[in-house]
Amino acid sequence: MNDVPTRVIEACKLGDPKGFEELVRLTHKEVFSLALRLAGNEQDAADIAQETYVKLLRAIRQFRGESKFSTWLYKVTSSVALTRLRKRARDANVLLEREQWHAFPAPASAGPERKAETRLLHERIDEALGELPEGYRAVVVMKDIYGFPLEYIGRELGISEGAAKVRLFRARQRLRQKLGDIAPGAEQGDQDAVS
Amino acid sequence: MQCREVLEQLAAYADVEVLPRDLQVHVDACEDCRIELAEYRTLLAATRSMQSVAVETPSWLLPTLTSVVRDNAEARKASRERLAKLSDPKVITGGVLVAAGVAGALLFRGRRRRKRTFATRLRQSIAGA
Repeated sequence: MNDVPTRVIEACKLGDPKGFEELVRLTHKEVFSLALRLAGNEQDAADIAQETYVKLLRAIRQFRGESKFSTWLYKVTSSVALTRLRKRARDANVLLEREQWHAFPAPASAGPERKAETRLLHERIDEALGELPEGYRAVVVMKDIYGFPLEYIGRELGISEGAAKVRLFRARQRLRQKLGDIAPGAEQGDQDAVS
Repeated sequence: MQCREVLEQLAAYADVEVLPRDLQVHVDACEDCRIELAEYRTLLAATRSMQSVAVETPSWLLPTLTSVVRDNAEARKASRERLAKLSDPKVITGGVLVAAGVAGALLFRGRRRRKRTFATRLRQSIAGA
């Protein structure tokens, strides 16, 4: 996400409805993407996005610019999403047990042809993420895609940091199993991943 | 270390640059485990780059979100404006004066009623005597 211009944030802090409309236009794709990756289905993701913006209306004055706005927005979105997931898990005890299959839409950007392989891999990963149980998916999405610290993820999920770590490793193993061979240029990937 | 033992640990070390010594010794010597580690690292590199890849949003999403946000923002704005009007010094002064007037009137009425009650009782006692 390109970071949101300061003038838009300031307009929102003043409660300007047009400022909020612009904020939605600028950020809704990223908010929806994170919500979809966490929730696993379009309807829940749309509800999460809506709830996120309503929460944002009340909370935006608390944003002091100490981190990037996008980071803050991802935190609000994940917090809303995980609250829903926790509630759903309480209601149906599904967080780890239920395997869900939801097809993720393809990435929106029709990038240059030379990125076709990466795009294909992203699609496959999104698809494999959709097959993970919710509790595993939440951890791997938040840690490996969005870079949240495990301690924060554990807190948001209501589990210990150690438990979050175990889930992360299991989720990676499952993803690896589902995806099969993904690294034709394995040595290259090896270097990229740790750089 | 056996391959099986190593393979179980690779998911944990995919994002670690320096492997524990025994793991590193095995990976250096075993091509299968080295390839598996590379696969994990490729997977991790790919997932990390997905943050910037937005999924396709349904066509109804943006209008819905915009409308919800606009309605909420306008309601909050109207509520803030009402609150601001109430906290206007002129409104506050007027309110205080009205409240003081009402309180004064009630006090005055109460005192008159008490006086009247006392006078009535006095007359009744004189008449009785």
